[in-house]
Amino acid sequence: MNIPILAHFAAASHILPAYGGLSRWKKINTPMKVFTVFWCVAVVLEIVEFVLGRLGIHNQFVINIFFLIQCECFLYLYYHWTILEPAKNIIKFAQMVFFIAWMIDVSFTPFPDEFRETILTAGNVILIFSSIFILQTLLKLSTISLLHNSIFWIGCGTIVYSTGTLIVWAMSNTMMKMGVEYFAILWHINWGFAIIANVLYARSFWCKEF
Amino acid sequence: MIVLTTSIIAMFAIAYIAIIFTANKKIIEEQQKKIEEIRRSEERYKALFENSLAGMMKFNFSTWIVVDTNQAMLDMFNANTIYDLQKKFTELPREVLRPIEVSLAKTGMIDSHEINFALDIGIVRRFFFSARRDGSEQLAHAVVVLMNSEKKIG
Repeated sequence: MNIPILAHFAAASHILPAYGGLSRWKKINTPMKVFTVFWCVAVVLEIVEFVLGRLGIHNQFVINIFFLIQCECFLYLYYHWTILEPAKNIIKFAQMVFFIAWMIDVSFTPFPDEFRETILTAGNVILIFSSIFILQTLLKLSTISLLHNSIFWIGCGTIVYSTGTLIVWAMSNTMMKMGVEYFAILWHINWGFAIIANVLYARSFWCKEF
Repeated sequence: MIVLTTSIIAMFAIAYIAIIFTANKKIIEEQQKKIEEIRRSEERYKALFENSLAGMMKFNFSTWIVVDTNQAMLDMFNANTIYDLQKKFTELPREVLRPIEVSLAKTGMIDSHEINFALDIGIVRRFFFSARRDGSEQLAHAVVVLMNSEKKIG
């Protein structure tokens, strides 16, 4: 099966936030540096995912690892950004719960040959709700335009990507059963949203406030 | 079905972001309006303060350090600077300053307290000194009115 052109663009778009973070390394704070490192790791994992896909080897375990790192990294960012103590505790709790759930899930099938729909959906839901909470808090606290705040772009990127791909991830195995061609058509949704989100994440590095 | 559901959810997400962004714009506009109002109000009061014929000053009533004053006050006491004015107050006899300090400390205000002040140029000026304490600090705002009588010494 030929890999669609949009998939190439989606994979390449991971370079944008990594480049953004590295080029602004001296001007960004520690959580944003962690965010940059995450994107560098994401680029590597994306290459691995791509190569495995090309070779016809199941790459779901790479997706699983990537998703765990992504969730933990975003929650870490939100944890550091929020100043409210109860919110910090909730985010910390969500981080722990997701990590434990992921570990339990992966311990049964370390190299799955299909998508781990439940854990992927749960992670997306956690990210959606935490992003909504962060944007609401940002709206209350911000004294400057939201466009100047990096967390706004990160929150937007996460909401757009996670909501846009929620159903696609949740139904990925069902789609696979319908046929690879059909799956690839629907997977365009994921690639499209990934490109949009990566552009938004990259934009977050060119803000006044971090 | 998947495409339709995804489109609906994604549209909700985009609408939510748009609402947040619009709300922020409104909040920022309101904040800027308030800042502008405060700035105008400050300018008005500054003009009133500086152009007033009555002497005005902000001072610490326990140390008599003058924080701010207007030109009329400096002219009344024949002083050139705030420090000069402060020096003139601290050189006044204790029995002149004491009632002001006590009244401000106890009641938070003093009304039309009479001060006779001998200037270096050989004249005595009579003032009505009124002041109100500023919050819980030792600061007070004073308004000093020069009375009509100016008599020469000797």
